[in-house]
Amino acid sequence: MTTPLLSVEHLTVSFRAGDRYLDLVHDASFEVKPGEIVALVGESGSGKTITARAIMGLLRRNPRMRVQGRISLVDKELLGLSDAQIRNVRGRDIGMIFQDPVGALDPVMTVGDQVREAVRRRHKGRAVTRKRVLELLEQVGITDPELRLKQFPHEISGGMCQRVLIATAIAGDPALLIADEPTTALDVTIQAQVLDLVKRLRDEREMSVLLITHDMGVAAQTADRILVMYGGSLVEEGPIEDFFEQPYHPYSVGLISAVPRVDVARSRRLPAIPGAVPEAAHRPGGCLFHPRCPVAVQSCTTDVPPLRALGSRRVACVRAEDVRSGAVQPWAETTEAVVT
Amino acid sequence: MSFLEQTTPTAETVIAPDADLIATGSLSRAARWSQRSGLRREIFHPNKLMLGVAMAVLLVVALWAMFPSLFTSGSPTGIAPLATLKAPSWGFPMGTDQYGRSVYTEVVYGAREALEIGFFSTLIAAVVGSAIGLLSGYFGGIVDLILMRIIDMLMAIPSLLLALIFVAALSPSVSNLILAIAIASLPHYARVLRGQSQQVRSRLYVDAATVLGVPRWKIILRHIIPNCLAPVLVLGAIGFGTAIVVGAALAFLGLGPTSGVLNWGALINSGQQYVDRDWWITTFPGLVLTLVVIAVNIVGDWIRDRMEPTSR
Repeated sequence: MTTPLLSVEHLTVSFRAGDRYLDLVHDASFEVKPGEIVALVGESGSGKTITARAIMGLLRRNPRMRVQGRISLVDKELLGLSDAQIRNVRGRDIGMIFQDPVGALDPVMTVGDQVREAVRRRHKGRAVTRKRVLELLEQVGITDPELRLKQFPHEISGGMCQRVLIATAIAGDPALLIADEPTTALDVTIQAQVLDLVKRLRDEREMSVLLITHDMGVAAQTADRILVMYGGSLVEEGPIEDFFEQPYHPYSVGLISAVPRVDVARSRRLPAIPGAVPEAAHRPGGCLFHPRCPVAVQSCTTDVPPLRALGSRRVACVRAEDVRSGAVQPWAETTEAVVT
Repeated sequence: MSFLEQTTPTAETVIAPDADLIATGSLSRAARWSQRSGLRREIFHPNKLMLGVAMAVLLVVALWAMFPSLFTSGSPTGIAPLATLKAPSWGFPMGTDQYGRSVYTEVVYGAREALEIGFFSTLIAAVVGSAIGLLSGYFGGIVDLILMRIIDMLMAIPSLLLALIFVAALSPSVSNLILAIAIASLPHYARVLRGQSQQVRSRLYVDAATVLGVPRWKIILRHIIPNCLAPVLVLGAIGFGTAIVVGAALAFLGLGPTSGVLNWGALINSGQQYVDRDWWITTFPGLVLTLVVIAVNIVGDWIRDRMEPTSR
């Protein structure tokens, strides 16, 4: 049993609205082990990005955000650090890349200057810095790095921007890379390349990756373990193969069956989960998912199911055993009638 | 809080309305012109022509300011009792004033002060106003509240009146004139930059620099300020013209420097009592002043048009 690199315990992030606090992330606990790629999946508004920002300390400056719980990186407790201390964690211990690579690069600065800015945190001296910048650009698969140095972000493609961004993020040789929807803005071929790059960097540097995505395909392709988030809470967690083999939470089942497949007859209607993720201000009582759940029972409307261990996994659903045994099959064709 | 947001002007609303009038006037002509074709259109396009003329006017005035003695052999201060109040002629292209000085010579020598006032007051207003706006927008909270209330106070008073109060309180000299105009016009820069820096602060590349562990002052210097500069340049280009007019207006009201070369505004004032018969003393300096300001606005407009696509 290896000690975790990142350990998040009872993380609750709340947003002050008037005189009350709304939980954007509620009591989330998970771990990332060294060299592991963990996918954090969920629909828009499920709290994935907020979790990433909380880890990175990007919510500290926002007076309307309250972050509670523990976020520890090996032996450092990130939430208790001072501004100067967290600055040393950023870039060196944890790197981060974003959904919109073009927007994450400063439009009035050349690519070279931006990578240099990241490299300067570790290396001093003009020649050393330059060598390191070129090295990084090559490592992330940028062709003709000498030329790219002088170009501005608008002169290069989105995929190229993401590579540059990755180069800046790994410049400080971080132990953990947080990738917030790194491929959402890219087209499919580039997406595969960037994911391969992330995997390769993990292998070469033994870096851990927290991959945030809403794309089940991306998670299946890249991650070792998966965390499913719904309405700010974790609902299922497990090794990637087991999870895709048979998800236990009805929500996870729905997410997977909503992905179109080529090996299933086209005549079958693609099941969709009706409704939307409830907003933080209008969350239902009991299990957050019960209004949309096809297999909900009476107790789901009143009791919040805790995240509990079940085999190799953790799941927050009272009917997980039934789903596991096949007694109920959420989102199978027969359940379509249940949905009203 | 809500009224704070409401009173934040965008770059467009601050830009002088007369500048827009000029632009639309030439646009309709440009529309007619664009129906023709060929090389002629390229060279003599009305918009480009206007811009060329405007730049030429500014160049001439700048040369006047730098090398006045190349343009006139006379002295702007010497008195010639025998040549008072002469009508325009070859010898005195703009006539002479009540002391026999060539109005043309006075206009040429007055250019330096007019441009000095315009340039330095705009520079000071842009730097100080932008700094206030930047701090206000970036830090927000109590800093924003205090700075913006001060700016509100300055904005509540019309800028000409404000400048007038300042010069009257200090003593009339060129540097006080510059200072007064700068203080009166800096709220515009503060307002625009506040909005701009609030926007830029929440851009993703600021977060991207933050997660690299770049210190905050470096982020402000390297990422926030460069991305806020475009509207300052536009405001400055147009504010320059306004500053020249305000400088002349204050001098006209007797709040300019009292000795040495006459300010254009003071010159217009001195000819005021003769305007019914000896019209040239007021008309020519007024005309030059008007031309310069229109030229500045045309060039300012052009700069705005060039900046707009990148600043959005």
